[in-house]
Amino acid sequence: MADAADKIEANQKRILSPEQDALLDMYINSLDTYFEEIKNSEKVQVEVETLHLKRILSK
Amino acid sequence: MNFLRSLFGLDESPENRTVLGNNVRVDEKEVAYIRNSNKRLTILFNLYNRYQETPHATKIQRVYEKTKNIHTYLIARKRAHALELFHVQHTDHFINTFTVIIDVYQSHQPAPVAPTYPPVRPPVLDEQVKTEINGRGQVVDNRRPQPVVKPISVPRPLPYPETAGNKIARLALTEIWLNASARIIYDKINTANGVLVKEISFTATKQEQDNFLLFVSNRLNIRDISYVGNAMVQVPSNGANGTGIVPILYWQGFTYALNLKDNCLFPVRVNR
Repeated sequence: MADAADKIEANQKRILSPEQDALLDMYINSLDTYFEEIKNSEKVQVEVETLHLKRILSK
Repeated sequence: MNFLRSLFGLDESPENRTVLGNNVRVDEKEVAYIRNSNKRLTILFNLYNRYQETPHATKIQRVYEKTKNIHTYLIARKRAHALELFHVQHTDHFINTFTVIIDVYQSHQPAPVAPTYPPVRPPVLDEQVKTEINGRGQVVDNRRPQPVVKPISVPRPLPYPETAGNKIARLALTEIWLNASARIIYDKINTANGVLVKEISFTATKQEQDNFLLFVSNRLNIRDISYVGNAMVQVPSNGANGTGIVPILYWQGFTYALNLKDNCLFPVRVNR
């Protein structure tokens, strides 16, 4: 599997230096992290709102 | 109602609440953010195309897909501002870096067969340019750049005198200014209840803009266009008066003025 991928890569020209390639990986990861963060922040917001309402109602 | 307000602790200052979409200016801003985001997605996709022949293409494609997911997610939640912020902090840097990398790489290639330029050149003939190049009515095919013309950065000394029969045409991009208030009627449909007029303007709703883009897509048979705004321009045409308001479109990395009369696209640069 990995061998096949390597063979395909060997036929094409690598443009990116190993460092730039690593940077690309890091960028993809940062996109994932960002997406997770905005999803989480929404969850937190929902929780805060729920808590808020709870507090008001239990007064 | 008062009971509900006391319940939510809002009875004292109900007017302090901001209602989303109530403020027209905010709405306009959001529309602009969404439009900008669409442009960035197009640029990312073009970038992916340029990397297609390399082993890095799949990764660039993943960047495009992931960015698009974030775009869709934030727009669905009406968080256009957060989206803009995200692009400024992430996408713009990414585009800059990886455009430079491929630019440098391609400039070092020993002139390959049909160098892969980003598809920003207009596939539609620009009448103005055409007449400038050639006033004798011959058709000049400028769809594909001829063997790369050297930039005119060193204009003098010219190796030959500039005589009347030996003039050099200067290609120029027309600069236009968007008119935020102008409206264009692009279609009239006769219905049972009378004539339905279809309009497009900078302040049009998302739905109105989508309708317009659909109309243009069908007419020109091109896809993935977005609407930028309206502008007052002088359109080169056979008619006596070619001045009017035309819609400006964004397509494949570039902006064009669209002449609705003959469906011609003219590349323009938008002055902001």
